[in-house]
Amino acid sequence: MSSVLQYDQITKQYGGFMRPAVTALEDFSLAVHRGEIFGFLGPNGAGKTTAIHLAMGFVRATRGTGNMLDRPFGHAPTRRRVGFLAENVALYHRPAARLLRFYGALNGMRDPQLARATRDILETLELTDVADRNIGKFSRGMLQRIGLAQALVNDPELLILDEPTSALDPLGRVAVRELLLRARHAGKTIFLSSHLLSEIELICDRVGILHRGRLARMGRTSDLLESSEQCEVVARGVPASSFPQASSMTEDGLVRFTVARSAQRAEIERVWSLGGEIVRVNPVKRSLEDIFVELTSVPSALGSRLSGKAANDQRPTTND
Amino acid sequence: MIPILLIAGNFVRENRWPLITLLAYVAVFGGGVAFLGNPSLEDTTFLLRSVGVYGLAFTALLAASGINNDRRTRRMLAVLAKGIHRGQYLAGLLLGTMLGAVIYGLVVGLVGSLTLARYSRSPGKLWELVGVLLASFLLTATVSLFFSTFLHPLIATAAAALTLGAMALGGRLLGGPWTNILPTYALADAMVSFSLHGWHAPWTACGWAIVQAVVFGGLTTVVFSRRDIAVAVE
Repeated sequence: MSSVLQYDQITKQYGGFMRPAVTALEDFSLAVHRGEIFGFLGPNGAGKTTAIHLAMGFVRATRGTGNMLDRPFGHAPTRRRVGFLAENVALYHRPAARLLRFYGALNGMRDPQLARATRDILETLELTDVADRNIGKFSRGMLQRIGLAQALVNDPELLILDEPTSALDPLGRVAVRELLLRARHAGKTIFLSSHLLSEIELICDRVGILHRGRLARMGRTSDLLESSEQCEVVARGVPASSFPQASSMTEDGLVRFTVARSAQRAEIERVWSLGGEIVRVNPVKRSLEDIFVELTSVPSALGSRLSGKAANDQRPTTND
Repeated sequence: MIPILLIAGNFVRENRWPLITLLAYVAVFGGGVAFLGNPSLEDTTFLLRSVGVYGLAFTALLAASGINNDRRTRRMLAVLAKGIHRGQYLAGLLLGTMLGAVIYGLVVGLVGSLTLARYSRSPGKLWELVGVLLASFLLTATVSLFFSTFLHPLIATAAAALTLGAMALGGRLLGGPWTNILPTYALADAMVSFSLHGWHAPWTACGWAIVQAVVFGGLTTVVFSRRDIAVAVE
């Protein structure tokens, strides 16, 4: 599968001249495949925004290389095929439609394509009514939508979004989620950094969890959510008291209990030996939040070197 | 070229209030003195010299603040996330500064021409002075922009003033062709000694000023292309 965004053993350090060097990313490798929605997670100061800024060419890697759409990071013409939304949207204070035309034109778009794209994206993000209003008078949610609009106006192949729904109300979030799913359906690749784990869980094909500058876990969302260590056994025709770990006994006589994978076979044979019947055995589903907390609450080797909060406080771009 | 024009236009728009204030000062104060008062020709030439110095200070501050403002407000990210080179962004800022400077020069020229018309004097020398001012503005803006890629705007302005001052000193001390090669002394002298009689614009020095602006522009691009531009959320 081809990668549209690839980090290859990238290390990024800040400071170093008259200031102690702070490592934001260390030996960071990641590949985002074409046509997928990749969820990029991590606690504050993990290095997510640094990773995004490296891809966009805003900062330069201390070591290692990376490619975006088959070109090295920082290749200006390639950015015409990319849509980027920064965390805490900051745009020039101009009327919304003119602002979109400005950013579209910077990406080489010209009329009538630009006029059509501007009109369409304003309509999609329900901003048509405020197209002539200066964005300086916009609410935070509206600003976030205009930020998304400027990222989408050039119909990009790759979307890099840093917290795209953080300021939106639930309806706005649903609308953006649908927009992203439609974009994926149209063959776009989306690299999505967010703290909203439920959102990530709902739409991302794969997830990477960054912790203290290192990739702590990566995989398909469905695989990550499926525990490999525990499974739920549902049986019939056995007394619940025979299984101390049983969580409940339903009205139809079903007994449910969770067992370790290693003990699964023994427990099933015990059900049979008691004259019971196995109804189903399923892997236990975990939430992304569980995994996130589990991974990020354990300090990594790098983290211990960085002396925790002090390192985070000094890191200039880790605003994720 | 279009991205440069877009960034330049946007830069002028973002800085329209200081620019309008300065233009209003020249138009209202200069025009008012010329038409309502009864200034002598010496007073008029003194006013023209002083607005030249204001223009230099304005250009230096405007050019030095461009990068810092965009960086501090994080607006730079959305611009440099588009398919443009950092050199194009800098060229846009410089062009925007020079657009402001040209507008300022035109207003100075127009107000001065109208004033001189009262004395039935030809404004030819005045427009030559405007040309010299624009060359000076260009060099000042480029040097300020260069220092602003790695210094705070106020420090960058001071560093630009020191650099231009050192060039002036060098030109003065070395003399001969160096007066033009290090053109700031020749330009400053032309500004300070401006008069309607026996004054000649130092065009050779203006040419060298443009050459040095190109060199500083190149250096600015090289330095800025290697800088990390992201900043923490306020």
